[in-house]
Amino acid sequence: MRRRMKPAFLALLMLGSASAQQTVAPTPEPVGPARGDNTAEYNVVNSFELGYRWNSIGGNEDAYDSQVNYSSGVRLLGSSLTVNSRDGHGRFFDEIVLTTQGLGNDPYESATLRVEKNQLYRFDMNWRLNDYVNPGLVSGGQSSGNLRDTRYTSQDDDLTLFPQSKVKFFLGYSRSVQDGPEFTNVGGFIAAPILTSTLDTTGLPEVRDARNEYRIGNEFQILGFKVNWMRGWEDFKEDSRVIPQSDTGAPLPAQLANPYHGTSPYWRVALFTDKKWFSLNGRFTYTGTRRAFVSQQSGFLGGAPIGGGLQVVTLGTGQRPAATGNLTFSVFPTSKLTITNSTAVYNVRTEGNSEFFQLNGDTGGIQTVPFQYLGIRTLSNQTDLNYQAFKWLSFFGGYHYSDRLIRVVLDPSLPVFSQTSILNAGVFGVRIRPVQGVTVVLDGEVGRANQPFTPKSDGNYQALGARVQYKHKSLLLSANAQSSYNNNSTTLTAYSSHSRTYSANASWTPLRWLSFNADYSKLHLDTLGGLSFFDNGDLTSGESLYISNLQTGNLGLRFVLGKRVDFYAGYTHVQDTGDGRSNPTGTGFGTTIPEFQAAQTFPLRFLSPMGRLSVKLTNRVRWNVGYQYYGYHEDFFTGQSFLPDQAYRAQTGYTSVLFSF
Amino acid sequence: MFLQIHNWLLPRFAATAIFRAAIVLLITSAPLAFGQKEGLQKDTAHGFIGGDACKTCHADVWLKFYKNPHFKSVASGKETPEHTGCEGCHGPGAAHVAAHGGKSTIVAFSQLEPKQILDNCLRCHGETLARANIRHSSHTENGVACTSCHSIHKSPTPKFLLAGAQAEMCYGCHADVRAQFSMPFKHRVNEGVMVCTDCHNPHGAFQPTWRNGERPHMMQQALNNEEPCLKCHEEKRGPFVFEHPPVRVEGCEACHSPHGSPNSRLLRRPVVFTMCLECHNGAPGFGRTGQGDPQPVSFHNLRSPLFQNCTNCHSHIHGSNVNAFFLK
Repeated sequence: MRRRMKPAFLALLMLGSASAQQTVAPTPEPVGPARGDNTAEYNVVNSFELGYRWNSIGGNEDAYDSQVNYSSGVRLLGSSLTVNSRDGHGRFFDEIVLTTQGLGNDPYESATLRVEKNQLYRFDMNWRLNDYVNPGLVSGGQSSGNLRDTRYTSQDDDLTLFPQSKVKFFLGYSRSVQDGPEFTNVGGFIAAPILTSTLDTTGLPEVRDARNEYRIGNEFQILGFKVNWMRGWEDFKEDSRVIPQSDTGAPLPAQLANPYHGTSPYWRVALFTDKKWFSLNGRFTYTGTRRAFVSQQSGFLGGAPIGGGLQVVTLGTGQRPAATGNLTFSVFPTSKLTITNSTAVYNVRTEGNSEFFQLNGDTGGIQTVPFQYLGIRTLSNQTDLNYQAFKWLSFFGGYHYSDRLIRVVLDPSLPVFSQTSILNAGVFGVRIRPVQGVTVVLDGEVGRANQPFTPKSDGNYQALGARVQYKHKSLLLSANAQSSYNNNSTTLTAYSSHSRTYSANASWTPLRWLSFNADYSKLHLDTLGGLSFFDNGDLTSGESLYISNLQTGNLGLRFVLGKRVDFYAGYTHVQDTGDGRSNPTGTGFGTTIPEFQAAQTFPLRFLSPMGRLSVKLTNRVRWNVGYQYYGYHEDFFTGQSFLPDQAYRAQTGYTSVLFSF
Repeated sequence: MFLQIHNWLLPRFAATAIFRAAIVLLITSAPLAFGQKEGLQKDTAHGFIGGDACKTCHADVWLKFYKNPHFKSVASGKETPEHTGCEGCHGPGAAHVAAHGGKSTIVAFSQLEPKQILDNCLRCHGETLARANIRHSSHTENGVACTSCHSIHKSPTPKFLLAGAQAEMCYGCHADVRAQFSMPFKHRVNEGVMVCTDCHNPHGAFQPTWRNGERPHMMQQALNNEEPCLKCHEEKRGPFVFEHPPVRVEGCEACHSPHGSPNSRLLRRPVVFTMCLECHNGAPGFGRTGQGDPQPVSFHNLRSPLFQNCTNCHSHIHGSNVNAFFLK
């Protein structure tokens, strides 16, 4: 039995690693003794991968940083440590699991830690870092209108006391910080809606957001129900500053500060029970969010029609109390029938105030700027039925009703606007298992909302789907087709969106030393929308048709040479063929304006081949080397005068040593 | 006289009472944690013979079982036989031993229907908040059983007994989602800094509260039952004195493709002005007043590149405290 199980286990591992991994490093191959090392009362399994990344970039480096962002340098590419007590009665702990990835200076770093003592406590920590670069949205021949180069870190700590008991206690703390420069437009107007003066400049603020969340909770059983409650406080503060710059990049004697602080104390209560004939669960939350803000602009602003000094201060508070409730009741009249009814209530309102204060050479004073009230109340109910008629045939269906009320006050002097949207939707489906290992699922949803909020919102919509899957040992084949249609046309304008997605996936480990994975997906999207805009001062109306034909393929192949060498090759290809036109302003639909024609389709190509070689030097040491290429090209916008060239080519690679001790 | 706890002023006696109650609750719950009733490892009357007999033939499973979270049931020594070790999941083993093996003499998961697998696992894992909606989740409706994603005895992952890396498990059925994460712009799931369960609950979730309460399902809701995007992008949460209503009413997906997109900032359109103008065209019946989303005013010459990127000026498009037009 043991001899038979080992190949199967290895095959499972290989199946996972063969699945088209998108990044070449870290190396997924195992190292060290499979069962780890025994030390006293514990078993230890560990591995570390230390390596060097390199890259060579041609073309638009900003685009590379935005999409890939790996740079050169020494990295602890990955590490894993597990410590388990062998009898489940460790003195201080029974399990430690520590994993890391990308430590050193990778743009994507993470670390997780679990420490657990059976029956007494469990501690989980999850830390991660994401370097985020975005060259911004194309505009005006400039490389960026909104450059952003920020670093986001977050950490979640959760301690559970008595995790296997009927009475548990929870303590938690989370923190996230986002900081870094952002290149942005300060604002077209200094203090609209009171239009005082134009400010046509840009600035380089230092983004600095921080969130701290504290939570405490408990779980217990009473009257057959498990009750879980949580009390928490989420504090948020944003202390970004803007130093405006002139066209030459020199700082202007002006500044903009926007401190924005607040807290969101919340309660969450959940109760649930799962019996033979029914299950019931509910979740109820109340959050009383409030924020206080100050916005201050001051200085002598180039281009402003004010000769003297200027200071604008806006301050106030915003509140958003939110109450939500969910209740789900399922009954199981027979072992083959499940009936579920779900009710959800959501009630939120947003309000606040804003006071405007301005000083300049000629005027000054205080003026209250009216806030805009927004209230949303949604009540929805859904009943679903799932019935297994035969072992090979099941049906499911349901009815969904939703009532949403939106209330808006644009100004206290204006009447309250309110609108109600009623949604009626039906879902249906059938699941067939004609033979062992084959599953066929057909499903659909048809809905109608009588007051969609925007032209893009679900109005008259239908969604149909089909999925076929075959699974036999290590072979998995699946295919999906989905179609989604939404129509919100009115008497004066048309809006319809039609998307069709086809995808297929195959993964197989035919031999112990060979496995592969391949998948393909095609997304067709066409959206017809009504446009109304000003063209050199003339109001122009028409229709736009956005068409995307996006095809994506992934391929992964892994094979083992002898007992020491593992090789992996992968390839990713993304291509949008657009609507088939050969130039950006060739055959646009509904408009003769070249700028609109060019925006109706966006053909591009993105590809990334890679290869990795891993050689087992000893039982505890592996040497690895890998290469990955990234290429990005936009068919129309490359070389156009009104848009920047974002194409790039990047060669990246790494070499590393993976060892266990 | 008063104790301030996070902007709350409590009378000191009330604070003291709460503190004492918490201590008493903590102490009194300890016996529940440690002093569970003594169960029998063997209950031969019902066919339970204990896990020792299993080791003889299934040594490969047993030798590493102490690393399995289910080993806790063995280590405690206090669980009842139907909740202990091998027989906790596979049922009484007496007939299996007497027949010298065979899948028909024991609960063999490879022979069970998805619902039977679910019932078996939920005997212990049912009353857990994260799995409270599993019986009517989309996965359950589509016949996805626990063992479709979890490998109890051969898991290669250090936590949660997953049958593979989490994203790869999901991609196995959701090939279209794998394609979305292959786009030039995407959330960093393939890079390992995020996982699918940051945003989704594969065990089922409550109904969404954004949009009109309809799709998408299986979302891991954040504070306020909001979209999970706001767990990380909290600076977009607000409240703002001037909200961009679609953000609150429709959710982030009105403008963004959360998995991945060929467009910068995960936007649904490559050039911003077409995306904004699809709503801001004044078409009656839409918008917060029902009079249509406002059109750009006349000085917005959309032929000029300056106005084609709307967020050049409307930079605080998710909401602003000082400007009704989201200019700052």
